[in-house]
Amino acid sequence: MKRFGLLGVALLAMGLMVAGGCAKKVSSTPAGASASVSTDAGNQGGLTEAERQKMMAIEKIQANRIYFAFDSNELSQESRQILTEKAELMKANPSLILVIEGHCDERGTNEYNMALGERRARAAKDFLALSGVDASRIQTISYGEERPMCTEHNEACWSKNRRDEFRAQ
Amino acid sequence: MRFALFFVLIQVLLLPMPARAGDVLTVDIYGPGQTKINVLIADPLPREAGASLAAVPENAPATLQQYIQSNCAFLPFFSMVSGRDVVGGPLPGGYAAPNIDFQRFKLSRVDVLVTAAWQPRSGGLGDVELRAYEVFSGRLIVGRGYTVQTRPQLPEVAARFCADLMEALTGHGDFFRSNLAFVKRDGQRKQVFMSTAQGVGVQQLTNLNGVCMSPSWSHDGQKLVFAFLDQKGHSICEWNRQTRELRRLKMPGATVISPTFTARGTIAVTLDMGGSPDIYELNPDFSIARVLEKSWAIDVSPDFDQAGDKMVFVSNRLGNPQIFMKNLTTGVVSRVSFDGKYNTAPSISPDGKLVVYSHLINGQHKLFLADLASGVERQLTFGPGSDEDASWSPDGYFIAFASNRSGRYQIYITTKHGDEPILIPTGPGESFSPAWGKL
Repeated sequence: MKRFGLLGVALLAMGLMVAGGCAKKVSSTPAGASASVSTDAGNQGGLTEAERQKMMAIEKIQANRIYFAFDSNELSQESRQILTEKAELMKANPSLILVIEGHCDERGTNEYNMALGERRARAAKDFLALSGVDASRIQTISYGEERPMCTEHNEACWSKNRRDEFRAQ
Repeated sequence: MRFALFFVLIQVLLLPMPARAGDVLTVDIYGPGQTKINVLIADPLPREAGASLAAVPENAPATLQQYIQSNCAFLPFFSMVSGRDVVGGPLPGGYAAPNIDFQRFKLSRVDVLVTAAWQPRSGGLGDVELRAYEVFSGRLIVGRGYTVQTRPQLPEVAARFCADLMEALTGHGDFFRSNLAFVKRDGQRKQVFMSTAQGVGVQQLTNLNGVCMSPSWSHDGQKLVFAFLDQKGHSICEWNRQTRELRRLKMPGATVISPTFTARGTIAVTLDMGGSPDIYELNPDFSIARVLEKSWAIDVSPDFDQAGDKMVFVSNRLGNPQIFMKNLTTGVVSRVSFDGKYNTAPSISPDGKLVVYSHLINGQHKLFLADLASGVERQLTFGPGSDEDASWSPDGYFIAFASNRSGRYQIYITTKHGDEPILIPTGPGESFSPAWGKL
């Protein structure tokens, strides 16, 4: 449910950016669209408009993970698309710092997986840097196979664990 | 020195009986095949005729017998014989030649007979004399005497005696003079522990709020280095055994993987300073001394032979992870593993001749052994589960590894011959990443 909620906010924001070209024009969006935004804002009483925009950007950046094939740090087409959206948000919010976490499934051995997790995080960082985000704003950390999302021993589960997660602040 | 506080060592009690060189019982643990030796640990006896073992407190004689029995069970070239199988009963008639009736044990196919003679001592458990005889010739292989003050000293007495016995038979007794460091899961955290190589005296070394990984002992057994991961990122830790102090440092780059001691006593570690994980050698102050191996790909898990000529490591420079060996004198890198698409976690034997590593087959890791001279690779472990993180013993005979063959990860040992793995008891919870060091 939370993911759908976040997705909705992300789609909404993309729509707003396309329609208005600037996140600050939330107040001029249609009533139906602005309702969900104002609900979020309502929970964040006392925040300035800039702070609200920053919080929304953080939420959107953290919303979508990217996934990898076994023993691979190659970015899929879908991952590139997700990263492109994150790059735009990072550029629009220059005060944000991003931490990219690289993760692996349990099948590899621990040390190699720790290196592979770093390569996965680094692949996303390099893409964002090439997309115009200042590399000094992006940190990477590899968790190898230490923090699985899913603990079952099958491909459906392993494929969820081979991922990059994004933490913005 | 510690041992000297507890025990008074009385050297060999009896002179060996004369035996021709060809008659001497030996085991070549490095040979192509192994001789099985039938061993009987005889029931303990009082040293004074007519005395009773009941005078020795805390059931020490039987406890020591059990420890020796357990220790011998770790040696795959020993086949333990039950006293029930001895013609005429298990009691040897005496604890020392010439009172021992070797003929009965010879008829029961016993090769080595171990006897124990106890005498109570005020203020302690007692004095014990341990002897191992070659049954065929009646030759004394090992004779030792110990004064035992407390019950916790019994496993150490057993280990000392078994080390001497193994050394007398094989030329190497380091298995009983070595320890294992390993990582145990503690909820979301992982801590470093150590015990003897037989799993005795398990103690927790760290209590850190994060994940400890890849412990490695210095060659003198005094320092332990490992990688650490928490919310703030990766760091390198060094634990001093003498002071029990922990030194923790951030390193350049975001990642610290597989720190290990080189033959020279320096630390080699994988860092990602240049955008890819490469292997560096550190100065004593943990600054970077030099690059040991660098490529566009992942280079990780270095391990060194005792002479310091060879470094094995994992690299995916050819598309998937394989084992490579770098000649540190010439700088030439050669590929070690050719079979399969996922070979990781190598450990090179102290003599630099063999490399053991994890090979992924059908989703599970098995230990494989590569002979560097011939290039032959062969499977060393079989059965269910994954076998990972192999580590050679200092004598180059045993190999410790982590396996989930029982359903959860625990530490096992096998030998370079691929003998049936034996569980090392490390207590409740999962155990990983064994690293062999000196006791």
